[in-house]
Amino acid sequence: MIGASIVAAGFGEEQIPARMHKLPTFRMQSESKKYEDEIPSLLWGLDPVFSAFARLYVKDIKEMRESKQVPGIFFYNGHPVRQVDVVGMVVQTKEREAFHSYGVDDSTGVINCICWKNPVVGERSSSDCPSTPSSLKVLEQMKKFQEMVSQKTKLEIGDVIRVRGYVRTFRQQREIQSSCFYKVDDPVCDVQISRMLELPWLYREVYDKPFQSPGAGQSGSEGLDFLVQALHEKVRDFLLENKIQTFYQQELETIHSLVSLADGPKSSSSCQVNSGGESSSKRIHSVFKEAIKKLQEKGVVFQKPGTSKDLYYHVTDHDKELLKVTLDVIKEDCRKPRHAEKGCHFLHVLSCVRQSYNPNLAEVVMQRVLELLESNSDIVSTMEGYYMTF
Amino acid sequence: MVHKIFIQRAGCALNSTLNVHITAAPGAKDAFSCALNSNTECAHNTLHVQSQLEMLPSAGVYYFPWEINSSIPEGEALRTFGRLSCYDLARSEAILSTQHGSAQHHVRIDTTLVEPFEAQLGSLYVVLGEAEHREGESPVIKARILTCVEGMNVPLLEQAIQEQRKYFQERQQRMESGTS
Repeated sequence: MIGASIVAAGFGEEQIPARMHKLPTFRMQSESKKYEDEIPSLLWGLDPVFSAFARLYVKDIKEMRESKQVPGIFFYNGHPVRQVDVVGMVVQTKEREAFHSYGVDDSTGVINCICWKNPVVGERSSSDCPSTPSSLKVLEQMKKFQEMVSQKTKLEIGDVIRVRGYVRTFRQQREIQSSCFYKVDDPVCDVQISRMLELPWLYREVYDKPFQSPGAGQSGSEGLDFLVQALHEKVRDFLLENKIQTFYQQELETIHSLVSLADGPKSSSSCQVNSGGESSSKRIHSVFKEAIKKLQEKGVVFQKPGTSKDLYYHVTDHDKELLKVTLDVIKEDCRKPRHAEKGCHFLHVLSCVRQSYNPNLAEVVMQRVLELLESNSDIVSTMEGYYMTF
Repeated sequence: MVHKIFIQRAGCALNSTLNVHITAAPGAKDAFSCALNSNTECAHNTLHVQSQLEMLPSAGVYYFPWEINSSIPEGEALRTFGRLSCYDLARSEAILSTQHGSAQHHVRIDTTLVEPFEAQLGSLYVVLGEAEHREGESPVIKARILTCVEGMNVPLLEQAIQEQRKYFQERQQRMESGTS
């Protein structure tokens, strides 16, 4: 029954992509394989630039490459950029119903910034509002505030503007969709000058340094650990979501989404350039091995005696035989007077299952099986470490 | 073909659409013909006559006043600075002067697009506009933006310009050495 290598879900190249449609994240991952110069989206969050408002030159904002994995994300020197922060001079203005479009020139480039108009709260007629003296005061202050907002958000050519927002490509032109913008009061150019002095430093210290994702430094064991950690989670999810019962390691190595992760981000690692495909695949192989070892340690997968050399594994949650054997042991022994009251102890169940099913069965696997049975309400625990059925 | 023309306090947007639309500003009537002229004049390099396609002007690259000479390409968008030493309202021409070393440098500014403006002789100004070669050796800067920045720390601006150039030069070199 368990003989067939793949029981529940096909591992074949044909079948997996079809399933992937239901699993958008996997699909994304598998496609990232095609864009090897892009860091897998899974790792973007590890780059501080990703969650910051990148203070880039307009020239770079216009030239940086858009992600193929996720449109709306861009790459400057391998850094994933989601939002930017720009200071420049307004050189063009256009008004639309809902927004102003300002052409902003920072002396390296000019980019359109879509600046949404503020919904005018002050337009509400005052007769709607109760006219107690205190509310009038609030109203007055609101009005003042509104005036200030409109002063700061209505810009003319020649004004200095600061814009923060998302970058997008609209009709083949890059533009910034502002999430925040205001007129900068810069009568003696202090703001502009300090920014001009700041940016080269910022570029040298941050943007031009390659993003060292933890997976990239293959020499450091820390990087490898991270990779194994990430991969083992991914493999676990893959096995569980696809209801895989048994697998060979080699079969996992045919899944693009997993391999691209195991391969690690390439953009910054120059050490890979010289290593041929062989050593790279060896490395991937060892990363998979480590990840599976980790899953074994957690009891997610296990091996049966005599098959360990084949790198052939059983998935605990989907091993019907193991679940059945365990359940039967508990059912049977709970009938015995000795266990009738408290149920069977964990170690008792373990030794019985080892006898009848697999002498090398790890405790963690047993633990996982019991937890699963318990969560399915097949068994209940009477006290810590004791289980029984009804 | 009808031009859509913005005339505003400090400049003229280079737009082209299918309708006439004039955003009036003080002195708009007088400025209108000038703006129209300027639009058609620079049509060859900045206005691509396609309906609804609105072009952004080129970036105004920083130049030091003493770098503004005949070698600057026609139509180059640039920005520079200097003290307003002279303003001829009738000819719409201003001169920004700077002392650099022992020499005094003068940059001629065409103020057609930024009029009317309050000329404060002796004050520092920053100008952004396009270089136009007319008669004489050095080009005239056709200002799109002319801002008084009296009180600006000029040495610091010069340093900032140098820093920015240095950075881009380094990057250029790095890219060249990377590809070769």
